[in-house]
Amino acid sequence: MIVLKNVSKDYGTGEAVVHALRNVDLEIRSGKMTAILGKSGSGKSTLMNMIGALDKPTEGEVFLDGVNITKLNERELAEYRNKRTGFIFQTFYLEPTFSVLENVCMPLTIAGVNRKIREEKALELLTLFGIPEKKKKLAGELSGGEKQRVAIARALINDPDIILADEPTGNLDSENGEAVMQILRSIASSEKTVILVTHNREDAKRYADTIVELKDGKVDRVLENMEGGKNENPR
Amino acid sequence: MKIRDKVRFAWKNIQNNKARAIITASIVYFIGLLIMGILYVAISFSDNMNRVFVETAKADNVEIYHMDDKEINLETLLELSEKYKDLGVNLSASRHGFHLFDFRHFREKELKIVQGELPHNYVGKNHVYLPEELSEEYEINDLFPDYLGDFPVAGFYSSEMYFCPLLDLSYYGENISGIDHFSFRYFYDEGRNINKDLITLNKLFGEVKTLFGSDSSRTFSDALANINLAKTVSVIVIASFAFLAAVLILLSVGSINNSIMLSIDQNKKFIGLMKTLGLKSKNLKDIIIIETFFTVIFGILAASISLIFLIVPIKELVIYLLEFFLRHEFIFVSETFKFHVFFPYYLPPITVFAVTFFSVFFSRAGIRGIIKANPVAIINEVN
Repeated sequence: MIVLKNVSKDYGTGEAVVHALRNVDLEIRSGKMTAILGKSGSGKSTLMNMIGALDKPTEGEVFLDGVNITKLNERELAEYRNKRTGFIFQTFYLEPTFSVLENVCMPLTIAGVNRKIREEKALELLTLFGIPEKKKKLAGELSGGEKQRVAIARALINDPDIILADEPTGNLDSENGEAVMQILRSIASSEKTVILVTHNREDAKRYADTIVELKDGKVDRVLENMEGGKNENPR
Repeated sequence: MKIRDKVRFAWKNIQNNKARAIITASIVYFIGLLIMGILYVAISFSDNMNRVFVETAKADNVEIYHMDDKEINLETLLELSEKYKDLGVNLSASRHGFHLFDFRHFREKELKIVQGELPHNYVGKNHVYLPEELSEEYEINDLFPDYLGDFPVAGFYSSEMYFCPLLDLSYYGENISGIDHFSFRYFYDEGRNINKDLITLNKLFGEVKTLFGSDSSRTFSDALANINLAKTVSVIVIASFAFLAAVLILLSVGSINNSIMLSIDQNKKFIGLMKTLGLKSKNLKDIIIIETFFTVIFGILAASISLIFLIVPIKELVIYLLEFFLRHEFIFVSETFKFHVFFPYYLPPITVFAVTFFSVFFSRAGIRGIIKANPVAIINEVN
């Protein structure tokens, strides 16, 4: 369970201050897919960054399974990001000069896992996502859909509890976008917490178990979506 | 994170901007060459100063000189040995007609008795240079079998008599030049007589290394003054050269520092991503240090290889300049300032360490900035 208590985040100071989040109280269930929905500037990416411990709130606290992650020191935060979270970005953030295999392996490389073990795991995931033959290609040589699959594989390789996906279909065509959403849905069905940041209401409705709507940095409403879990296609 | 992966990440950073890395390594190369060249000269010079002034002065810094009496005054020697024993100096005594040196501090390993005309390139009152082709060589053991063993000495006789370390000779004295029955036999016999004295002295004092005497021989005070002068000059030279090297290291550090900051700036996206994926500050710092090390080591390695080839020209140039400027000041200029050709193997690693350490040290504010920054801020800055 992820719990946010009175979380606020301000950027800038004085008159130029921007209130990205305002007193957000939220509970996100483990093992479900939660979509954070909102317009551009509503604070959804900021919220995701708080949950992923990429940024610290100006006020308030974030708890993961009872542990206050806003109180973690730098080293513990790095551990948290490496072991408990997996990130998927709209622009993929793959290292173009690394091979696909090296990109997927990166979290395990950072964790100091033996090369053979990490490459075996990476290859498993690439096979699962249907691109094992791309393993030696440079990430820069892949198509958008392939890049996002690699990014998802990278997010999963350390077997995290939480997958944070920030507009994962934003740079993809509808076919690849659909495929990526299917993958995320199936991840959620395997008892992992998937937090999907999107402005696409349709995607949220089709795939998420819970929809959190943000407006001007506040939680506007939280909807339980009974349809979400039904839209999974077996891979 | 394993060291191998840190190295790979650091190498990737270098490869991502080869032009910057090559320019920085080139700057490090030229500055490194200057640093090591300067330190080489300073070390060689200091080493030479110690060798020529300090060590030889220690070896023969007590003189008992009897121009008229051919016998060594053992009593006097004993008194002097007592007087100076705490100074750790060796004893020496002179005997009229012969002039022997302990040349272990010189590079010659065998005795040479050089016979020939007084060379035309006679330099100064007490020093001559002989062309080597005039030499006849004899093994040391042939001449002084009882005492000297593998003791390296050198000798020369002509119408005047010299004992010399190969090309550098000490003038013996005019009083022997009139002897016409000079022969190796005479030389040998007299040598054996000296030997007996030396053996006697050895029994008394443990080891008496040098027997010498001439008008130009140094007294104890001279020797001590030489030691102090050598030490002072050595310190001044090393301090001056070290200061120059430090200035050059700072220049190099400035260049590397700039390179580090550029690298951090150019790799912000990658750094942000790695932090997002859980890279610890320590690992990030290690990667930056390894990248710096790579940049430095390539420049310094290239500089070291160049230095191997440049040592001889550097040496010749320095000697030429010293002789040119100091010839009228120091009669010993050739020997005193003539240093060995050797490659100081410890210089490259020390230089690599110094440049890497100070580069990282002076870049620490920038490094700390990127280490402490949160991943979102880093990524957003790039975007």
